[in-house]
Amino acid sequence: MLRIRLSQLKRSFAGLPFLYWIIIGCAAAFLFYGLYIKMNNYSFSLIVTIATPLLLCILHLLRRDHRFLNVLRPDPWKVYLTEYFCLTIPVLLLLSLNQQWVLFLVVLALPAFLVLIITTLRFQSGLLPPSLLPFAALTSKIPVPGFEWRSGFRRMGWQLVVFYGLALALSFLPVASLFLLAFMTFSIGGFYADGESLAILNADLLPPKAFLKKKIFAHCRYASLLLIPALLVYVVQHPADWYLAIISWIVYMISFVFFISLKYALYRPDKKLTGDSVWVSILFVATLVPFLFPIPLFIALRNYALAKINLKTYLDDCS
Amino acid sequence: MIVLDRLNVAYGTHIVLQSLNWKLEEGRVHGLVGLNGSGKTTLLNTLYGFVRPSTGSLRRNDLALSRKDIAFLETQNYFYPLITGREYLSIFSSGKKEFVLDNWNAIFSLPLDDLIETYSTGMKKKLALLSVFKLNRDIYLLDEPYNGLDLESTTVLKLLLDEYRKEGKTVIVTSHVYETLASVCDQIHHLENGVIAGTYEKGTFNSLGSLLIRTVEERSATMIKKIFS
Repeated sequence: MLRIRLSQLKRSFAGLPFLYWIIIGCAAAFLFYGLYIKMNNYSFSLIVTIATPLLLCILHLLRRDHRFLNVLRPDPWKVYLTEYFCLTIPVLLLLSLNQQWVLFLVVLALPAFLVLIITTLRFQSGLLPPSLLPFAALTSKIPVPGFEWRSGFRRMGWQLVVFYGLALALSFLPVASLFLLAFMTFSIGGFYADGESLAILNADLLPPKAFLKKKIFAHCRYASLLLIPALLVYVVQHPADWYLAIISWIVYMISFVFFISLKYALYRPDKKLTGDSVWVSILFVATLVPFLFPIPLFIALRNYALAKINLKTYLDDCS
Repeated sequence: MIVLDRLNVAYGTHIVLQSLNWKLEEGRVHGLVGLNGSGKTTLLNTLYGFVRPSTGSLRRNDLALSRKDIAFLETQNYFYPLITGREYLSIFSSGKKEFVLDNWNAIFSLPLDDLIETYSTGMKKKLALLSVFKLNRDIYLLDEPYNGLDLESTTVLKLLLDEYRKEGKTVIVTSHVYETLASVCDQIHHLENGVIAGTYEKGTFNSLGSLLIRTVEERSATMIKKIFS
């Protein structure tokens, strides 16, 4: 299984221009060094230790290979355990370099604990009637043109509510809820993983530029309606940090432009998005290291231009 | 009148439509038949504008044919995951004409508030048909609309197409079941080797049916003999 994962990783990096290798390498090195310095502080190490299982939970909920693993192996929990352990290695390394041994043991035990929860509390919501799905009332409030959001809420509603609840509950801490909302934005990015049919794409008969503009504005509006109340709660708790809330909102909105333009740059009718993982990783790293954020902004603009070209094939007659 | 003039369509080096000329009278139901791989779906995709012809023109009343006039039912119907039938239909606008969903669904009896994943193949086809009819356009391209439909729905679709004809709509429909086409169409066009090889009026559908069967028999007889010899 690890061999398959390595081949997948190799495939997703294959064909990446040399410049992006340098960018990714530098970003990873910066991130590692930055975290190493910050984790001298025990409180920060504690936050990283709490964030690690949260990230693993998101990853687990987002991954689409559960059925494949169940078919492939009689004991899929072993695959989860191995993979999640591998993913915690950088955190373990940082904790050991900073000699935070208690937290090291906690993170070391995390994958096993997580897999135990996963295997005992397996939750499948796929084929329940929508009225019985979690957050049915909330989902029904989402305007129908935001069908990705309706679909996404049915798939990941619990995860988003946990993030949102934590962001509100931890708003008394500096910065923590801003990062939690950033993780939530990332989860919502998963809503854009499916390419809609040509029939849906052509529903409004708009040319590519108008289509993208309408989509981006509408989805930024949904995101703002969701995120701004939590940002306001943060500003009430930390009035001096009002500018951080505004910067965060801008970062979240740029993330949505990033996700939507990436979706349509790679769009194929009726197909799941492929080849997006590297780009999303860059956005993720840049969100954690704010001074790198111009990179995703640049990528979003580039993908916006590519999306316009790609959509010409499917929408151009409407111009 | 819809006029296709010297239309050439190729995928790489594979030529699918070759200098195709086709005139379609509006306000009628047109059938399009041809053996597998004859280019029926490519022709419909070209009419809708998904496939660009390398040369030739598509015109309607001397103006370029526009996607705005067309509603297209594709062969394979894909629905976005984890949305309900009602939500799917809400994505499409009915334009100026009112579309009373409850009246339409009285014909098709779909569980519109359930997730589309729970629908059977036939139900999915009916949902796709509803979304196409909701668009209320002048021209309907229906690629294999009968696939997956039961006898009742097939009859309902025939009645609906009769009504569209009365409203002056133009329908182009393909089907692998020749009898269904013969029962609903005013004209059937035979696509062969990338060209319209013939157009048949209602009284002459039997001769086209016989021609198609004869062609298949001639093509397959030798190969079948080879297998069983």
